[in-house]
Amino acid sequence: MNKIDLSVDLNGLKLKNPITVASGTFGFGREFIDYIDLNSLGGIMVKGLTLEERKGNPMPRVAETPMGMLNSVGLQNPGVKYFIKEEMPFLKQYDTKIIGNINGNTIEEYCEIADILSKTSIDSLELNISCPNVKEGGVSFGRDPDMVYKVTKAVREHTDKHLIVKLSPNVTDIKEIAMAAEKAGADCISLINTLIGMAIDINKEVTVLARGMGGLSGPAIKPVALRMVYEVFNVVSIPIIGMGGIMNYEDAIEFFLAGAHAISIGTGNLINPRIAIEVLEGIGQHLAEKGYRSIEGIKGKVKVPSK
Amino acid sequence: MGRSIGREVYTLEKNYLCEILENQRIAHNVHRIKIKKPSKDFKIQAGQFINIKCGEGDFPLLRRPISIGLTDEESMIVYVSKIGKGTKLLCDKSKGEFIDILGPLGNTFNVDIEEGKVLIVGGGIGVAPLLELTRVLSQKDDVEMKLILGYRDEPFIVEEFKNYVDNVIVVSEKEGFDHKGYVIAPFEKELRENSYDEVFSCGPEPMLKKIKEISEENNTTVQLLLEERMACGIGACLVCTCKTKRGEDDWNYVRICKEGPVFYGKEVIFDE
Repeated sequence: MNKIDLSVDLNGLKLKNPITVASGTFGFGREFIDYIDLNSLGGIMVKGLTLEERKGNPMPRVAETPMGMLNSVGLQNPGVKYFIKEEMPFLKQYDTKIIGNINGNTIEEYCEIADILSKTSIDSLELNISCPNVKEGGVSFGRDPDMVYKVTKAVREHTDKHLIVKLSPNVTDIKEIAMAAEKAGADCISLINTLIGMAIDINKEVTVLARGMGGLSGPAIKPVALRMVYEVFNVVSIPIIGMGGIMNYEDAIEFFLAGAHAISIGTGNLINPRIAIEVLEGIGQHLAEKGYRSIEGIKGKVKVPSK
Repeated sequence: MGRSIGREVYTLEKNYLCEILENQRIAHNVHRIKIKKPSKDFKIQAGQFINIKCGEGDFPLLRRPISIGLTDEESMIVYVSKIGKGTKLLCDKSKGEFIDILGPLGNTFNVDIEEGKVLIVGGGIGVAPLLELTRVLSQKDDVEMKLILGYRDEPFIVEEFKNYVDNVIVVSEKEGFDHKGYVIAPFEKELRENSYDEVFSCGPEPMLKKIKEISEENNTTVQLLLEERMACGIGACLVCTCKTKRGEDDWNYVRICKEGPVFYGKEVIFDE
């Protein structure tokens, strides 16, 4: 059997394998050490960071829905400075890439966080312009191609780090958003963030989430995510990290076929903390069975029968 | 290697496949499920919980966090209230089936008490984690315990509590028990008339809020076990938080699954 090379190069960010874990579902990594060897991951997208500490949204913050969950955490995090001092040294012990997910209320704030993190040994920045659970910033930046261009361009000018832009699915045309990010200098695109949704308690006649709406994740959103990865793959030349409802290796393979160069596991981590390793093993076996020798080989290989 | 193969007990420190030894309906919508411990070294203490995968495949998607009700050398008992699709699937499982659990999770009650008087107050399914606590405290010769257990209708596991302690006040919204109504009135009376060194409580949030207030008025330390909807149960997702005090006039949301589920009353801030 030919040796399979699972490493991927995301336009300058080299991962030992294509498995990353999505921001907001993996804390700062510590929470998983009883379950998984962090060295086995290609990369870790840390919990979304802001300039100052954020307390997050009121409770309830979660609703389970068919094949999915709604969350409304609201970027609760201790702030970027605390992260650098207290969490980075822990994460840096491991042989995996650390990707800082950054969030701001304004373009200036995004730039300031990028400045601060650029002075550290962090491996990449993931510009989150797609959080649905905050009043300012977040998804409002990710809906308009001009805003996406502006914020990406501004952050690009503030950092030499590898730059990923994380896109929101809550848009009419994902292609123009992705193209704007690429044009502004993004090295890589990650998609999708959560879909905005709602759940209602019919007895109390109130929304289940305190803030009314939240972000839908899990298997329910996988078809939407796949379609968007496919669409974006066909219009940009930078690599894509695909995510949205990946629960097993078969799901991951679908993302590669649609055009993803790496994948991210999100909600799956919350149910099975070992999922990343299981998916990785499955991918290796599948590539071997199919005779592929690398991710590059399978990437974007899906055929549409009637085309 | 993959975990889904076969029915062997697999382990990676905190993830196990455990056999159901018994499953009995003990009250309307309440089941007592006895689970074989994954190994003799598996230590789970009063206050901690396990996060259980209730169905097969991806439905229901999330695990269900269930407090530990009672343990012995080889097994642990959970009391499950059938309130939704996940808990219904769990209650429908039969002896001999295996369940996928994460645990032990969360902190424990602080039982570092060698002497004194303790008052334990539970409401609804919140009585369950107090049973293991009662068992542990009953082993301490100089700790004197009294229990107040409150139910909406039919009481359950009262006899189990009586294996460890004689003083049990059973409260129900129905006629025919020691006290009709809620636990708050007998609790307040008890604290006023007798002095206690520590109170332990678990139950619905409005009840815990009153227990905290009354304990504070009587200068009695209180440990509260909070119940909340969770997702991961291991501290990653931040959906199960509660407000706690930080410094003089600040507060923070902390994770019930990780920093809790047990908090001192003086730490917790309940919203109005």
